[in-house]
Amino acid sequence: MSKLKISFSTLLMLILVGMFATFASAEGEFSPTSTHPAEVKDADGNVTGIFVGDVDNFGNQSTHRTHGNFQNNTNSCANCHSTHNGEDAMLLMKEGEYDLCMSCHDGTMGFYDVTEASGAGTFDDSHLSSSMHNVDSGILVGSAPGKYLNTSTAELECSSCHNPHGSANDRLLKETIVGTTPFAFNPTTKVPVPVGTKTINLAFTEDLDFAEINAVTGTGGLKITESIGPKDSLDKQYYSQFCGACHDDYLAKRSSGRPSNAAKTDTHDYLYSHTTNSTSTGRNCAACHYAHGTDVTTMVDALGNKVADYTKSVEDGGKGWEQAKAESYMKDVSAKGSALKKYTNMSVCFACHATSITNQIDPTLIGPDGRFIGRGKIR
Amino acid sequence: MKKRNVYLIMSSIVALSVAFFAAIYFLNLESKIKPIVAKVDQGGTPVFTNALYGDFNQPLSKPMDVTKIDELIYVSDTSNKQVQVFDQSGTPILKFGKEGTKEGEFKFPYGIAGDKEGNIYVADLYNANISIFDSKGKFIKYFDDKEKALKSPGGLRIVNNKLYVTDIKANKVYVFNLDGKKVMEIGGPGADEGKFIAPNAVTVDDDDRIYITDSGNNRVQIFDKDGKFIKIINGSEDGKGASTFLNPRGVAVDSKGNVYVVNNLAHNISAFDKDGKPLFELGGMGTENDKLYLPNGLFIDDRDTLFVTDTINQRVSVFY
Ligand code: HEC
Ligand code: HEC
Ligand code: HEC
Ligand code: HEC
Ligand code: HEC
Ligand code: HEC
Repeated sequence: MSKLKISFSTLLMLILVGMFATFASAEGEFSPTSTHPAEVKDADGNVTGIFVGDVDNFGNQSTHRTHGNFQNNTNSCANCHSTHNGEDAMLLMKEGEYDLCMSCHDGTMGFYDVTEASGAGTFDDSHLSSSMHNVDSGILVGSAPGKYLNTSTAELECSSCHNPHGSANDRLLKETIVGTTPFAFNPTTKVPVPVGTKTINLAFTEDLDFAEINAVTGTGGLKITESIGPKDSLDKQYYSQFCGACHDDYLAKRSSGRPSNAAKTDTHDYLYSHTTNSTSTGRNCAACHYAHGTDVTTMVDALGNKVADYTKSVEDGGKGWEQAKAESYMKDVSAKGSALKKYTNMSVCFACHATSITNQIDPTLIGPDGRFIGRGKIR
Repeated sequence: MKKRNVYLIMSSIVALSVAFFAAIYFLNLESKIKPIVAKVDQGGTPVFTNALYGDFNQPLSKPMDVTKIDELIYVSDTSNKQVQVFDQSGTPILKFGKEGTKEGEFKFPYGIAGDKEGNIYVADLYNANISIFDSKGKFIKYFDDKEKALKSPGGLRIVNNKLYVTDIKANKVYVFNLDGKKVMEIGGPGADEGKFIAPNAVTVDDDDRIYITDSGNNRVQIFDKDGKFIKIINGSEDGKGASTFLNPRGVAVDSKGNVYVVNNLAHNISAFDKDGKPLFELGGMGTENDKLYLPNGLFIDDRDTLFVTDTINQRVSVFY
């Protein structure tokens, strides 16, 4: 009898111990490291780790990159995909990817603050004449002005244009934007360029504001750069194709008109379009537009001057204007708004096309090529 | 005592405790009781008690930092370019500031702290200054940064009449007297010990040790009162292994010397003991009461109450 009692209590104890052990082990969480950033379940439900290296695509030791290199996933995925969130290792954010990116790109990382003017323009909407790609507003990619073939129903987000996981292109610019075909194609044959080919090189210089970071070696080659747009002739053409992935009907040549013309059946001449798909200066989207957005402090006039150049004191080479005066000078008055423009109003057109009126203009504003000095800034 | 009396007393004790726990259960008072229990049980983990939501017509928008001055809670309501003030129960009392670059205006109000007189100091990351307001929210003056050292002030705390501020772009932490004289400077860009990339928050413990969140390097560094590097907390056993932090932000120390670090992208708060040994985590991604969604600023008051800004859920959550 007493034996039975003892074995019952042992059994009870074993059950309890077993229960506690299960709870304890269930609580044991996976801790990500830079080379073992995540744990995922494979198709059979087995837990497998994601292991990554720390040498980047270019052979450099790189321990400090937040965003990765596509080819080998050199990355700390955990930077964005928290594994501390329980069941789903890939769970990122339930919604609001914009907020995720803006956790770091709002200035709290120091560099790459997208609310500050850069080669991509600005996402700051607090100034006069602002316009931008309205990410985080539920706008559909397929609602882009000048779309003809693009019928995408995805929402416009940072990741509509960037691949946070890395890309062959500079600035993590995506290789595939709408659908599954890469945006870049050979301009003559129209054959798509295979994924993994770098098509967009940007003209970078090291950002002098971060010279100290760029000089230190302990950061795994972290270099903060500034861009002035596509680097060489071909890059310009591909840059236009990039924008043209969504605004496909605006990717055109003056001599052949817009893609939608092909569908027209009457006899009119529909050739109206400025050339936007060429390798030449001024005939790619980056010549006239920013990628993120613009405002009165970011745009320039035909001389290539900004508001800040006019508010500077005369000794410093400015005009000593009040901020308000400089802003009303630079303000965009177009009915359609400032349309992400780099030059205010239509001054970009003047910068190129004003050769016939240059004899009526103060010669100090005209460069040796007989055009407004601001033309030199056109990509 | 008579047997009968003993039975009576005993059964009334039973009845009372049944009634007590039934009341807690049926009236949903657990969250009210837990803090009391936790207070008694010194080893306890803080639990969610309540949240401060802004004004109904203008909820908090990306609140980045929080502090308590006297009995009021001050929140930098960053996307609304203002400061909102609450009492402990979460009733909005006051708000001040608007968008701009002039006196009393903000572009990115971030670190917030109070001095002994009850004045409020607000660091503005974009305007590159620290504004001082009286307790009614009236602008008094800019903090007189005599050497014009500040480029991008982020985290801000005032302890023992010294102002500690992180400069995110300069990758440094400055210590000033309240009259604006710079008395110390720590850091510079880099990943080595004592260097920073984007330091976002600072705090000081009772032994005058300085804790600095080095967000870009995913770690918290601890310095002595003379600015000498002591050690790193990064979630690994001894602070020397790989970091488990994901974009660490707010940092604070409680009366026991435990260190709390906001893990922005893991949506939680990690707690460590004095020696940097991991203790527990609070929060986790979600919109429910005790969850967090991209949390950022952290303040612990003298009663060990935690205040954390929860940017996506647009609130300040209180744990006790
Ligand atoms: C900078 C932030 C960031 C980092 C770092 C990051 N991700 Fe992502 N990840 C995202 C975002 C944003 C999405 C949603 C992308 C989209 O909708 O196109 C995503 C989506 C995904 C998806 C869903 C499938 C897809 O491609 O849309 C997977 C799988 C994934 N990530 C894996 C990883 C892995 C593995 C790593 C580490 C090698 C990693 N991520 C690192 C931001 C990040
Ligand atoms: C944890 C902080 C963090 C988050 C979140 C984050 N970034 Fe970054 N981002 C960085 C850092 C640090 C760099 C610079 C180092 C690098 O290139 O990895 C950077 C660089 C970039 C660059 C420039 C890359 C280059 O090589 O020139 C782009 C573009 C970018 N991020 C886009 C995004 C987008 C889009 C998201 C949201 C899906 C995002 N980032 C989320 C920290 C972050
Ligand atoms: C319409 C496409 C598009 C969208 C949407 C977009 N970007 Fe970009 N972004 C670009 C392009 C193109 C560049 C490179 C511009 C250049 O240098 O000419 C760029 C550049 C950048 C850079 C580098 C800026 C610098 O200092 O030079 C960062 C960081 C960045 N993007 C982050 C973001 C974030 C964060 C979002 C969402 C809030 C976002 N981008 C949305 C197209 C886009
Ligand atoms: C992923 C698709 C996508 C890509 C790529 C893209 N755009 Fe857009 N763009 C849109 C959508 C959608 C809108 C309309 C919604 C809005 O204005 O936010 C738009 C609007 C615009 C506008 C009008 C804005 C206004 O205020 O009227 C301009 C100009 C523009 N884009 C230029 C560009 C340029 C230049 C590029 C290349 C750097 C580019 N876009 C790349 C989707 C895209
Ligand atoms: C970088 C210099 C440059 C800029 C900037 C520029 N253009 Fe042009 N434009 C040209 C050149 C070169 C041609 C002729 C060849 C071509 O289309 O490639 C041309 C052609 C034209 C034509 C067609 C003339 C014809 O014979 O068919 C018009 C109209 C025109 N541009 C108007 C504008 C307007 C309006 C703007 C401002 C939105 C502008 N251009 C900006 C260089 C420029
Ligand atoms: C020569 C300068 C120039 C070039 C090159 C150029 N644009 Fe524009 N774009 C403008 C100007 C100027 C406007 C504003 C027109 C207005 O105010 O009516 C504009 C307007 C737009 C708009 C808004 C128009 C609408 O319908 O609402 C979009 C979208 C746009 N451009 C996309 C592009 C894309 C994509 C490219 C490259 C394929 C490109 N642009 C190349 C000068 C240019």
